[in-house]
Amino acid sequence: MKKKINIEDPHLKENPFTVPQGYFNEMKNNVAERISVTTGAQKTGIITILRPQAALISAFALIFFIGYAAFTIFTPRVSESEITVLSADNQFIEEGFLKTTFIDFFDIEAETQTEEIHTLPSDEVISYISENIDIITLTSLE
Amino acid sequence: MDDKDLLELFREEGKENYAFNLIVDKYGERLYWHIRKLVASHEDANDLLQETFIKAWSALPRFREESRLYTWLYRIATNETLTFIKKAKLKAMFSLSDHSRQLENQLEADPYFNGDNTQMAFHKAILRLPHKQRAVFNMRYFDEMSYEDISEVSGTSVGALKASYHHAYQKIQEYLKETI
Repeated sequence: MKKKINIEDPHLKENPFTVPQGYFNEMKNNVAERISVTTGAQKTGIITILRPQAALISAFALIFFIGYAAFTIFTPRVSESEITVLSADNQFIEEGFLKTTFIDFFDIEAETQTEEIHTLPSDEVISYISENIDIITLTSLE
Repeated sequence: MDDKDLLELFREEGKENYAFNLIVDKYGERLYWHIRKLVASHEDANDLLQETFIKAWSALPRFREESRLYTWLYRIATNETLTFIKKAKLKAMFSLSDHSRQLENQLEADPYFNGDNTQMAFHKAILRLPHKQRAVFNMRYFDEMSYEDISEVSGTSVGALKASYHHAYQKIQEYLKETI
């Protein structure tokens, strides 16, 4: 037969759990110890927390300055006049490049003009030469 | 020493540690049993209790006495424990096991449980409750706290707490009827 259990039975309100002997004193000591460690950490504060990060930043800064100094010391210096010449040359090359690339390859108008030149009738060319160039020049071309 | 005196002592320069040790002395045991009945294991209860006190220690300078010290400590302990249970449940879900069943096994194997069969069944039934309901039931049943105090701890209305306790009570009774 099933036994009827009443939840309000005082026996059920009893605490069946136990703890190891001396646990509560040990727990109080542990908490006190952890708190004193936290207090110590709070006192040293930001400096202690930021020390490793600051060391890392300083190390990187030092490496950067050493590298920068080495680069400046060992790289040969270029005078100002050389720089002007160089920049003028650069400008010339740049302009030439622009001309060659854009005019030669992309200027459609220029292409059609060249085609027109090629299609001039030959008798017109001969009459032009005979009118404008003397005989001496013609003989030197032969 | 009452809570007001303890808090005044805590605010005195250089007496924080002493005052806090008195608080631990006053509430440590009570909070331990509250946590222990929620998680069943002594080791987990010990860890959670220490975490509770460490959190209370760092938050106490900002404590404005809008609630009483004891309900405030209960609140920290309950939140800490419920977060722990949630994580344990999630872990159990990933390993495809039942968290309640795990707790029951833990209780059966616990060397620090000296109860008889009825008490074992009763505590198993409590461990089967959803964790928030379990906390409400324990605070009302074992700690005999008023619904107003439980409301201060849990931030839930008195009406909702009464309903929760009633549901928990019914579930436990049904479980006991089936198992014993």
